[in-house]
Amino acid sequence: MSEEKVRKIKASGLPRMKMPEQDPVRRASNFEEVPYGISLEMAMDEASRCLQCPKPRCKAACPVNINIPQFVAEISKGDPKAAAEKLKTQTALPAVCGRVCPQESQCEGSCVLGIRGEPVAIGALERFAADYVRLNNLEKAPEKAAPTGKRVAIIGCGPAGITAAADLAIAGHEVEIFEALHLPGGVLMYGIPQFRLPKEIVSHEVESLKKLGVKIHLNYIVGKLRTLESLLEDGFDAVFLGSGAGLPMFLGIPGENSVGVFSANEFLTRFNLMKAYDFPEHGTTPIRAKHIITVGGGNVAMDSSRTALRVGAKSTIVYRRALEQMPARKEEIHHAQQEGVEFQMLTNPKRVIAGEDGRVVALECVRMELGEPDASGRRSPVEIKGSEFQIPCDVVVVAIGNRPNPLIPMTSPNLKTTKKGTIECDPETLQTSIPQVFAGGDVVSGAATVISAMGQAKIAARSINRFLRGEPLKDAPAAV
Amino acid sequence: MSTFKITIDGRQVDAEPGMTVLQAAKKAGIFIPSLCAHDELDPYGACRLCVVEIDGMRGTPTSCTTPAAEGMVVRTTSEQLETQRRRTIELMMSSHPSPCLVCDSRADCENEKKTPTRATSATRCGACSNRPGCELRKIALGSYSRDIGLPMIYDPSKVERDDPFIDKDHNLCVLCGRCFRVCEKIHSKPAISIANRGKKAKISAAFGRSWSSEECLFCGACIDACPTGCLTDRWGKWFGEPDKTVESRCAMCPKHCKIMLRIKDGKVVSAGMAALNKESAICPIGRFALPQMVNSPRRLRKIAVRRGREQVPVPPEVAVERLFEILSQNSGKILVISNAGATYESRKAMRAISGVFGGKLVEMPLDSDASDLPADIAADLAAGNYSAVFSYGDYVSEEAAQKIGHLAIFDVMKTPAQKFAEVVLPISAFAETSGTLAAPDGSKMAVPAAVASSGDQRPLNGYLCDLCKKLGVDVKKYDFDLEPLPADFKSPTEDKKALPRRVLGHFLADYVPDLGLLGLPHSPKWHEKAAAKASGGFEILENKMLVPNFHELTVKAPEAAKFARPGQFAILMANSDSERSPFTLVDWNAEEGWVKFIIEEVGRSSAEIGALQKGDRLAVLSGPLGTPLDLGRFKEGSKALLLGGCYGIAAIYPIARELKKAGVRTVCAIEASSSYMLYYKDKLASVCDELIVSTRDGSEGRRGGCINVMEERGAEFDEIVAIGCVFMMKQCASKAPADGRDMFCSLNPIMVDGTGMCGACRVTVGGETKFACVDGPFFRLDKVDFGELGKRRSAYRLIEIEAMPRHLNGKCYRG
Repeated sequence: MSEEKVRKIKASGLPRMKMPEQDPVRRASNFEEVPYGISLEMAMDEASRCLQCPKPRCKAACPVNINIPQFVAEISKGDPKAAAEKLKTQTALPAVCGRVCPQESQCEGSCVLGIRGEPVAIGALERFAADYVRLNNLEKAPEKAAPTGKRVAIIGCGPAGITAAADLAIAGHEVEIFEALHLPGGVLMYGIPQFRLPKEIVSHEVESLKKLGVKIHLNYIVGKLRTLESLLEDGFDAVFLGSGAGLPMFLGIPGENSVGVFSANEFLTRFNLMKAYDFPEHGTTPIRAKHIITVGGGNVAMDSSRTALRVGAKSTIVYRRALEQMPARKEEIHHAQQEGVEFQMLTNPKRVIAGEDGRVVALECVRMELGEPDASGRRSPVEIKGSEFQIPCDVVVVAIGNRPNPLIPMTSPNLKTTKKGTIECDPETLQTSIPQVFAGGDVVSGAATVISAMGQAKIAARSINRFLRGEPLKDAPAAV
Repeated sequence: MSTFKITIDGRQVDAEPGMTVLQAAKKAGIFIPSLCAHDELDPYGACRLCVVEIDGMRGTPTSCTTPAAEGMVVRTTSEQLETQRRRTIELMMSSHPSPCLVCDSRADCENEKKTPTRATSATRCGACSNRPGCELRKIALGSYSRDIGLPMIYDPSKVERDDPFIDKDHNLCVLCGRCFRVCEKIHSKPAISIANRGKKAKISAAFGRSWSSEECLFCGACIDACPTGCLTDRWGKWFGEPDKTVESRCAMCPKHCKIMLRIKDGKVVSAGMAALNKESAICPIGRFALPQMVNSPRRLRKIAVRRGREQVPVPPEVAVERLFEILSQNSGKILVISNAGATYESRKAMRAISGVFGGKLVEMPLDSDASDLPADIAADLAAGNYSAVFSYGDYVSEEAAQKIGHLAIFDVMKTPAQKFAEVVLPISAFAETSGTLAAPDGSKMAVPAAVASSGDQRPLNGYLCDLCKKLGVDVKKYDFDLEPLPADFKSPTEDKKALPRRVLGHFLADYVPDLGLLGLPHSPKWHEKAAAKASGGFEILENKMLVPNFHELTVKAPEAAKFARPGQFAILMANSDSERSPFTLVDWNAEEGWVKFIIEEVGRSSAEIGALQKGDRLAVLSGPLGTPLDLGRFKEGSKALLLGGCYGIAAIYPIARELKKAGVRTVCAIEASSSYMLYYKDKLASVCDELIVSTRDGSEGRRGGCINVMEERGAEFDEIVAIGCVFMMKQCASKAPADGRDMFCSLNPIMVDGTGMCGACRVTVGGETKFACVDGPFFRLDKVDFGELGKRRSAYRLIEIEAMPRHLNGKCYRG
């Protein structure tokens, strides 16, 4: 695009819209969603900023390849219903993605407008379209292909499982999901807090899945009940494995099993899935503390630290690298700062100190400085000798990542895994070492994002379709 | 009055005319054990523990009924007296669940479990809410109780929970008669007395009817008088011994009775009478409802001020500033709804602020609600004729609230109307407020605050004072005379029908559901939030109480039954809003499609599951989980020892069954506190080669526990598995053969998901962190850090108490 055109757009005088949000003081003490959403007028204005590039870089940057200019154009025309329908053909969870995708490093990050100014607020528009049809009851179920008579089992009802189930149901297969927890949604339900992703939205998406004829078995732990192999023996023609990365990593420092040290998974599960903030109405005991320290710098750390504020504690993040290197979404870091989370950067925990009753009283940390770049390209943090200090606290939340849960590989000897515990599969087709089994999401990539899991699920679903039709899984090499 | 001397145990002590020997001894600091005697009750002479020898008197008179006389020579100890007392205690203990008192491991066990297990039935001190305060226990531990020669009688049907507020566990009763004596003393005509004779004797209302249908006024004096845990306050009993008791005045009705508030960790946990006499009588509102109201989860905690379409939290000065603006801008169109139940200072300030701005003031009686507003005011409110309304309490309906331009609500509780208010101010509850109240004669009476408020709560007068200062009002000008108690005032301490039904516009029964059982009405809007029953879920085929607090639950779960293997567990949730808790699978049948669990009541979640009946549905059954015990390592012809305590008695059953099939010579050793807690004996005997039964009190089988079996016979076995409470497994580990042979235990830490996702169940085994849910539940007995496990298991010990009061009739109900 010519610079001239960009200038012209800028001259048109429309700045990127600002999402109205709950007052930071108020929201830090409630679990309600932070952004309020936007009106149709605001959405149309924002959508009209889109240049409708012929070769959209945003589409290419989207892990599920959503044709972004297309749905944005519908909004600018004032037809959010058409926009939502376009979206729904390409993503099963637009209301979710609009809220939790790291747009600044994907679609919005590659928006041409962003080179000289501010990118189109694609996430907000996606969320708007999805919310609009949901709240106005305008959704229509996608058309399903004729029944193929093939049965597909989906393991895990998280973002990957939901996406694969939707695509495969639309393709005409009989789809059954097996979910270990008592509610569907996976990380959307237990991990991402209400204030970032209202649970009603997840429930709604799951309902639309059921309308597609997908059957969901809750409380069903594949590996402990039927195994991968026995599902195949029991008449499933293919299996999609989307069991996620549900094995929390700990720091491996002394005192880590003291009372008051939690994995972020447990901390968030108590409050999100189990609603401990509503104790004793809900039976799960809440975590009460004066000062909660969250260790880590990703989105999960932001979610934990912001949840800590909402349960009435002082909240501090301890992260071993610098603020600029935090892997969390910019918006989450910004929200956490706004709400009053304290950031202790270049700080690494060394030891958890507990009192005689075994309860945490402090976290001993050491200061870090940035050294040479490591394998990830980020400058690696190096300890500053003798800089140890203690932060008094009563709860420590460890949010340094997850590994895939070993439950299924443990019970499926033929399923090959990598050294990291992820499932080994063909990078192009996502077929595993068991030909009928395909995998996607965090169980393949390790802990990543909702949208990347969905992207993989779409690829796996396409492979399963081909597999069930007896077609070659890979695209024929392009003619030279 | 002239004192005189008597000699007790060789000491000359002073006595006064009218004193009994027991009183004289007590005054002189000489201890004579006694139970039925109570400082505030007349002598009764029932327990016969206070027997003494007195020169010149035949036999061993009871010191509590013998008047002291000049020159008396008394001996409080002698071989004969000791024997007699020991017999007496022995008799009491044979019908009082006392295994803990005679258990050799009591001190260690109680050190491990710092608070008693919160079970429905007090089957032993370790499951009794009154363990810290029990008088019988104090005497028994004095050295009288080591050996019990009499058979133990325990009757599970003696636990009664059908009356409001009061739990009755007649197994604990020693027939000291304090309860009905205090009842008679206070109410002249006692509501309760001893019914039946001999071993069937128990405290009862006439004809065994429920107390609430009888004369009982629920003053609760009997709870205070009870020396054991027989009569307890269902809501407050698990909080433990109070840190302090503060004298205060009940402000729930105009009578303002003197009341003793018991404080624990800064919370009012119960209320009692200043003295056990007629004049000090209180009503169930003061005793039971007040602590529940003060601690209600529905208390309003945050100051909020409307900003645009949102209410935002603000500091008090900002809220007061807004109140000031509202008043200044709406002069002449203001309604102030004050309350006669507020402190004198607050009422005066309310008068002042309405007076300054020419507002309308209405002072509602304490026992009133919105329907009691004067007709003209109600009509004006409904028509939206006031531009600003200040309301103390819930007097403005949601509909009216939406019509008021500027609504400020001061309240102790959250209400639906508050979301339409411009300013919402959380007010300290009565026990949290100091101020002046009216004495019955209308004189002023200062009442101190018993506890601090939490959250943003402040006393009403705190806000009003600041506001009046800002307004420059001279509050003194608004002095008024407090009203004396009306001549026709009916005291709720004398008549259940006179109990206040409402306070500050709130219906008390909405917050304290037990009051509904006493006939108090709910608000018209109130509807009991039924426990969130799952429509799907898993059908309960049977719930059998095997022994007190232990339920054998059979659940229809064909898939789980098909895949279950010995040693595995499942996560259960009674309702969709319950906690996820792990329970071991103790039996299953793949053909018939059922699984069985032993649900031991230890707190709210287990009590909720234990309360499910045949035909009910269990919301969640997630399992089988955990790695089954590796049965392959048990070789045919080898010898295995399976040790089980508590739920472990059942947990070893499926293991023994499989081992028998595999031709392993299996010895099962089980332990229980007492004979009445033993179950599965026949079931286990049918699948093992030898069954060793131990009871901690020696009432059946060997005296002691699995620890003794381990110590004496552990070395005989090739494989050993121990399943039970942390203490039992820790004990077994301490006496295990130290030659590195295979020994396992099954751990049951706190879990959330049970699939390895949360790490709540981290345990340290041989210096390494393991997840009990996926790596376990079986770990090497000799490698587990039981100290850490014990601490992690009790992480929520104190918070959990708050969830406990929510049970009535063993069923969870919503307040």
